[in-house]
Amino acid sequence: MRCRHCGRELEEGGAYCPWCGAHQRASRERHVQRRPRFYAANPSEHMLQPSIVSTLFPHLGPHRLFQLRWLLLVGVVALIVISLGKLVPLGIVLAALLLPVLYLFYFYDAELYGDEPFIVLGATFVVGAILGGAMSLLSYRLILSQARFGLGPSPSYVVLVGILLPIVGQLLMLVGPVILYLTRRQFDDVLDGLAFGAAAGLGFSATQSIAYAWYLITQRFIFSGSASAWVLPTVKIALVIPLLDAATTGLICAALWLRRDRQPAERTRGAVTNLAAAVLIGLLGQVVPAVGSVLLGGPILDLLWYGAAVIVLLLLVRTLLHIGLIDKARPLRTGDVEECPQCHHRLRGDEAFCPNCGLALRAIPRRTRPTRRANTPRPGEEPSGA
Amino acid sequence: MHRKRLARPLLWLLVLMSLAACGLGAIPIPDATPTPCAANCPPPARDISQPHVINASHFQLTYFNPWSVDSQDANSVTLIASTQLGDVTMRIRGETVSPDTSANTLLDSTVRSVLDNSSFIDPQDFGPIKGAEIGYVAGAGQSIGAYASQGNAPQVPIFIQVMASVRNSTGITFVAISPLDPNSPDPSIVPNEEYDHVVNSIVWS
Repeated sequence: MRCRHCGRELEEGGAYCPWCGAHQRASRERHVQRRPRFYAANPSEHMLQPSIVSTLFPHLGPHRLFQLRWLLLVGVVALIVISLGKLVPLGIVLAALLLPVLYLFYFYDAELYGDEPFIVLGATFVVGAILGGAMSLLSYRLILSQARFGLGPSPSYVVLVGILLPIVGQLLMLVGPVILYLTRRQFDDVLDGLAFGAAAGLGFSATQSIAYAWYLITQRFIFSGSASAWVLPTVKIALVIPLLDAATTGLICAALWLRRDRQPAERTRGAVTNLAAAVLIGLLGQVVPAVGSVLLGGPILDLLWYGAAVIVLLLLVRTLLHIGLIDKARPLRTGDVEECPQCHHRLRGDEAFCPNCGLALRAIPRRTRPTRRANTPRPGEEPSGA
Repeated sequence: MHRKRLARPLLWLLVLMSLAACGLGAIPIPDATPTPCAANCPPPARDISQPHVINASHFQLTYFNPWSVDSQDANSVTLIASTQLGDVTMRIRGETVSPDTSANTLLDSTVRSVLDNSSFIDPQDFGPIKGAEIGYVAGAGQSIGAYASQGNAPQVPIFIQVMASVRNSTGITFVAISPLDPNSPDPSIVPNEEYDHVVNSIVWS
């Protein structure tokens, strides 16, 4: 049996080619390798499923994905309860830190920083946080000086808050990851780019949200107004703003890291994998929601507008990762992975994809890569107990 | 174990983040409502050499610098003045009302229309404005506090004051929206004095 896409010899019964990832049972020829119904980093989901966790946390196995989804849900519900209890300062600070803390946990759990944790965490979270705080402090008075309340925004306010500051912010979020790109060549995977970009975006958004809400944070601990007034602003700080920053920065960095991949560049398809297009999308992803938010006004429309932008950006990130993992497929070549963490299918150790479920094996947690089944010898070793 | 070795840097990072969070208190984040002077502040000098007079269908008013007209139509005028914390605006509107309309009725409908503008979060009633009058016609007034919501920007308090007066079949409403705390105003503008001046300059027609 030969692969319908790359022509390599396959074992009987496999649903996917272990080297190019092409789906062998697809009914239509054009879907053989594109396989849009089976997201490369988590084949149990459609490529266009707007999932936060499996898109921005692609290294997690199915068990951890489940845990993280619940953790995120519980975190958001807890924040809503805190807001309804009028504990506005506490709610805002916790909301700003929710996703960054979860992402730190992800870095640790999936061991994304290799042997250089200080460098990687410093260049992503810390640099992003410092630049986010600095920009917010420097622009605080400038924004207020252009604001007019109750009359609709002035043109100068729209340009400043809707266009200039989002663009400057996006460029600052890229500083740390670009330093990593230029100085640490061992990180050469599209998933590394996504993780570093998302981490820098989350660090940036956390300090920006805290700085912009400083007046609220330093007021009384319990507010006296309506119980429901701060729910939507808190959800925006907890989910929408950090996801937007993580998605735009992750998208640009994933496209940047895709250029470093050892596979031939001409194999990648789709405009979203082009670095210039990704930069443009990232900048528009910052500017369009910001302009709309300024012009629309009001927490409900604001949240809906930002939420729509986040969903579109997450789908673009997902598409880029999917294409990157498939078009630049390469085997792990560790010879160590002997069981697919998704479906527990037995592997040979030199595949790029699980032939049973189609999972791109680069998307498995690094901590699981060295795992070996008991009593399974490495090549050239004697079986234990023999 | 590899993971145990990575736990220490993570711990250091969390310690660093905690210290940075504590240190945030020392960063001179601009106050939303600066205090111009410690005590006994003189009122800001107003240039009264060049009064500006505006005529609308139901009233005439006089204003001075630093105020300027933001917009105007037959029934209403919106004045605006810039401060460090954003623009302060005053909107004066005249309208024909039914004979049974009271100042309180007109006040309530005006407050509702102001708060329907959804760019405010958590509006709270700060109570009535005592001695509210427009053009020396007694009326009703209400003070409101809220927070600004204009995109991804600093969240600061907003102070809204609404007054309404009715004489015969004419009603005039006054809406002032300011980022300046009346208790610690901007060095260049004392909002309540400015509002009083404009309201008292109104001549009913």
